Amino acid sequence: MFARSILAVVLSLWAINSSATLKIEITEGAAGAEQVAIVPFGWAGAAKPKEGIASIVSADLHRSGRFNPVAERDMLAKPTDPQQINFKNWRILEIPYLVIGQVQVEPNQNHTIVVRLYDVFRQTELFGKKFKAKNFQLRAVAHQISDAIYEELTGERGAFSTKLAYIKKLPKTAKTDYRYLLFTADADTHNERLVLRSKNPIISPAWSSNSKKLAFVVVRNLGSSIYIYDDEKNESERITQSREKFSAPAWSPDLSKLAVQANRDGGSDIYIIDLKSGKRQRVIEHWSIDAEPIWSPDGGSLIFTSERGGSAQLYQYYFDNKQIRRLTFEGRQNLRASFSPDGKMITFVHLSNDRKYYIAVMDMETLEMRMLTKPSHQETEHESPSFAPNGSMVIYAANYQNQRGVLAAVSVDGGVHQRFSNEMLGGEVHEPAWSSFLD
Amino acid sequence: MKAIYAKYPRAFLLAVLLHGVMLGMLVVSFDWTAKTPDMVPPEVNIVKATAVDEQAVQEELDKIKRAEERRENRVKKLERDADKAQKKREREQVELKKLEENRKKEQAAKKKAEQERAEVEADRKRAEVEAQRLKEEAQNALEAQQRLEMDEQRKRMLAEESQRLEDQQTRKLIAEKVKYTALIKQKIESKWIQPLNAKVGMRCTINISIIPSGRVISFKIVRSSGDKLFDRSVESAVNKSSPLPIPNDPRLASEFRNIDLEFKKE
Repeated sequence: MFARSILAVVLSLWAINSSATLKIEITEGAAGAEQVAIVPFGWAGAAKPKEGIASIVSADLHRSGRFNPVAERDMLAKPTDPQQINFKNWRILEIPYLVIGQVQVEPNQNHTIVVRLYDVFRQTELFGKKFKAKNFQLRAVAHQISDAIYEELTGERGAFSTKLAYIKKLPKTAKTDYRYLLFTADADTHNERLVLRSKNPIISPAWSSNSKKLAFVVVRNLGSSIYIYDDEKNESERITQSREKFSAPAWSPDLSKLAVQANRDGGSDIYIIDLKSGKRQRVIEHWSIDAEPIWSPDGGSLIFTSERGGSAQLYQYYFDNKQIRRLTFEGRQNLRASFSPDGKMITFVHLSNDRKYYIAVMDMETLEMRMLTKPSHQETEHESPSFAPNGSMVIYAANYQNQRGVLAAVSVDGGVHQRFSNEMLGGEVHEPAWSSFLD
Repeated sequence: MKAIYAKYPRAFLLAVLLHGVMLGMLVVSFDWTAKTPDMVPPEVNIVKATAVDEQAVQEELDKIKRAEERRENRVKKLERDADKAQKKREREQVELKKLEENRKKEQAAKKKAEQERAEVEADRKRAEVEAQRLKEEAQNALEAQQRLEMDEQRKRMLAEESQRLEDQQTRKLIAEKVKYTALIKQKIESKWIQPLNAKVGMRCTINISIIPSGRVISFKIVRSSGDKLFDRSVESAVNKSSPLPIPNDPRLASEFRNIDLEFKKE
């Protein structure tokens, strides 16, 4: 009787169970990046260049931390045409995404590039795109392809076709007096273009929101002056005099003004410079140091570093009611803030109570602070964080091992860390600034 | 009285005798004295007596006196004896009383000691009984437990046996189901690459359809994580895991035709 009832319970459970869909929880998985095969593009009408489009795309996707591009030597086949694809070759390697492409070079050096992205398991084409480019535009096209793949697979806009600005400092042993170099470069640090070289320190590069202009500062004995570089015209213009001792420029979102720091004996104040009229207006003053203003993307406020509380901390100034609120309270110092493109976050340098540097982010709604980097004996002195235009990463400079000024990046979730090779850049890199999207 | 007599017959008899004598003496002397004043001695007799013989009279008187003295002496002796006897008796009674008291005391002491002993004994007995009771209780509890366990075991065995007998197949099916669920989970987890940007708590549920060979022929995300890359990692894990291990038994196969997989970043 008893056994019978047990059986009945078991059977009823069984029956209940079988009426519902079987559900299995998957919780374990290796954290990592998904494989994607970017097959070297086929070339027709010209010799294949040394660094092909596929390798630029692979490097871009790898740097994002989201993908793990397959090495060319691990590919079982190298199709360049849809008809050549045998999905089995990729499926057995468990590679879910495949990119193939062809470059047609015409006698007038016009390149037509066709690229296709496939879902290997579904055996479907996710997109097919065609680009036209001159020889010198091939890198740009490669970054556009990276952007397209990234956006298709992550649902987030890619930031590969963007620019960096940074200052390179040459060692004293260099054979030139011009030890300070201001560069702009593609987001992968390739395609470096010199903006200015100087015997005097160049500091504080700041992109305008349309990524067409770059404000920066040259420090001379008399004082510092602000320059604006026009990327399209490839010209720089000095807009303030050395004696004014303006520095740390920040663009207003409408590009009509600069917020700057004005140094004076024993401190500094925040001024607004109207670029059209040239009018200077002091907006934030205090007997101590107010410095490093940045403009919120909505234009309504400034965030700046101030020592008015005794140590360097971040404060926010609102234009409408002229109120100032303190944002940071933890650690010895918090400084060098930079807004995320959507204005929802800031990133800044956090100096902890035990004197270690971190790159931190703060949610502007909750004012909750989070560390993105961990100082290690290898990577120290994190400085000058700046958001990628899609808000997914923060680029900064740090000392790495024995090298000073190494360019590094971390994803906003803290999960992906990247470092750019210093050998390639050929010098200490400081104050990296990531542009907005170019369009 | 009887008791005293029984206990000390000589003393008693002596005492009675003494009393008798004394009583007799009282009577005699009374007679004696009483008669004397009443008598009006005839002068004649006296004269005569005197006349008869004064010496004889004197002798007679002496005789009487002596007799009297003897008697008095005897009485005195008797009295003394009686007194002695009385005293002795009293002493004896005191002694007796003492003895009695001692006896009583002894008895009381003995009784008390006995009582105490009895109490101690009783305590001991009670303790023993209690100990025994506890022991028995423990034993009973143990036995009950053992009985229960045995019952349980028997029941279990019975149930198992009965289940084995009545539906061996069902149990086997459940075991198979558990096994294949674990195998599927294991295979998919070994293939899943969680995106580095996946946040803890992110989850995505995907419904998959499997053909008898184990091949996943279709899937559909029924609950997106909200993150495209995360969802893609889920699809990719499913794809990489195909074919999945599924049970051969046709009764189970239907259950494994369609499965919900919930991918969760923990």
